[in-house]
Amino acid sequence: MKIALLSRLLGVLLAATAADAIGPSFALATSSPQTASATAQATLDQILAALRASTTREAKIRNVEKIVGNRFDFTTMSKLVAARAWRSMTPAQRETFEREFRKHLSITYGRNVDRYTDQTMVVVEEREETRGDRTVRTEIRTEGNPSIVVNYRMRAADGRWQVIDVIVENISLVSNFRAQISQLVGARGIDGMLDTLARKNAAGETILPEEKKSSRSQDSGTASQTPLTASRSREPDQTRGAS
Amino acid sequence: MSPSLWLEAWRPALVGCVLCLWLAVPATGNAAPGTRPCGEDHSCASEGADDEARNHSRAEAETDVGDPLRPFNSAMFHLNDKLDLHVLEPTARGWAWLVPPPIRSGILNFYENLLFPIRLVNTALQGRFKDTAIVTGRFVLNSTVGLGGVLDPAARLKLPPRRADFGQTLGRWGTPAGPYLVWPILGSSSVRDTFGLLVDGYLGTVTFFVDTPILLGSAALNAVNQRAMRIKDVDAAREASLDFYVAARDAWQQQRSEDILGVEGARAAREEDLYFFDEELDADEMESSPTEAGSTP
Repeated sequence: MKIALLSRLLGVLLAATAADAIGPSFALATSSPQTASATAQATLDQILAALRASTTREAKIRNVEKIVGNRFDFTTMSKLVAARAWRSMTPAQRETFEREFRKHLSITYGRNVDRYTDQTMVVVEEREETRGDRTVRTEIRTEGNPSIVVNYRMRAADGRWQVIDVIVENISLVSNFRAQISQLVGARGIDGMLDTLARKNAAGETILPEEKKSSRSQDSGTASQTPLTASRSREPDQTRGAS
Repeated sequence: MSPSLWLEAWRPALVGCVLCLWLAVPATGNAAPGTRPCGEDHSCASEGADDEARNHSRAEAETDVGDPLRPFNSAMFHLNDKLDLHVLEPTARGWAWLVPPPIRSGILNFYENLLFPIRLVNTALQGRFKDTAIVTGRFVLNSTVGLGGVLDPAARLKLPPRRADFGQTLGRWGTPAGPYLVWPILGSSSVRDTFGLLVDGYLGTVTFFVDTPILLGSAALNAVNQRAMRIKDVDAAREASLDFYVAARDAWQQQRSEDILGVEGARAAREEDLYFFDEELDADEMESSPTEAGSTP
């Protein structure tokens, strides 16, 4: 039962990775206001196209990351995830958190890009939420398997729809990380949490290329002691005006 | 699901534990008794403002389950993790290598089909009569045309499986979840859902008149077979989490919230807290750091 749930969660994450890929082409569309659904569908198409067109896994990750980077509002996501802790964070801490959280998503979900090529991702419906948000319901369809429902929570900023949460089979990514961050902050304080996140990322980057299954041995909460030999090869390029 | 089959052997010990916990733990929820259960596909929240408010309080009882037993739970969680790492996963890898996918999914379908009594009774107890009909239709069709449940022709007729268990039934009628609990082998649960598991275990096993050793072997087979379909997923989920225990607990709680409040109810329950946890803070942020997110490409 637990396992099934976790794998759903995994699916959410994959979807998040996918969303990253769609960025660049989207930039072109920003001048004309689009509906949330149209934005989502275009982004999903871009991601799939990027996944199919790129041959190496590095290229896949890079391309998807560009797309997602443009379409995900990582600042709002970070704020929602950090929740109460966000209030007590300094601007520098917030910036660090956003950067590391984003990196975490990209590393962990990027690891799975190879697994997602044969699917179609289809927008099924869009619904209006409170205060102008929209939820776009999509399905990931794979031959011979039940489809996976992925909801994208979207919020408009400057006339652009951006993703602020990914809900896979009704498991919300924001909620899941909020619980973990809150636990970490409670146990170690904000700096401790940031440190844990950074170390996890550093460790993740080193194992990324070969996709070792070693990180199993690292106990989740107790941040891995892996040396900081992080090959910072694919850190998202845009520093995004965080001067 | 297989865990319920395991219970045959555990029942006496578990009943003891559960009764102690149940009595010792004061009810945490303020859910009104006799709250109407909501149908699987219908919005619970659409039953009027009164019900909506009630849903919220139920949602609190549901999702904000504290974790007072964390030391025990954490120990059990890590035990399960080790068992998975050293026993279940290696076995599942071997199984996946040995057994071709169609046979594995046949086995999966077979066990799914055996859950029929549990789902029949619980959908009915929850007043989800449409689902009761679907569950029955599935069982009849899959047991016959589907060769004893190995195939799933019903799914092709747009009759997907419907989840239902006794913990859910209790929850839908207003029983609070009580503290979160992790059992060895069985995994995440709560006090209420453990009790539900016992009832379902009884329902699921007594119906088929099977001996305990066979049940245990069968449960093990089912577990290995299911795990074989998730080999990479568990690793991925572990790597994706900062605190695997908390991640698993939250995922479980979100799932239960959906089971009990319905998709719409769960959505409504988390809406404000999750996406507008601090409206003022949001406003402040907008002012002080304008549109950091919408970086110009």
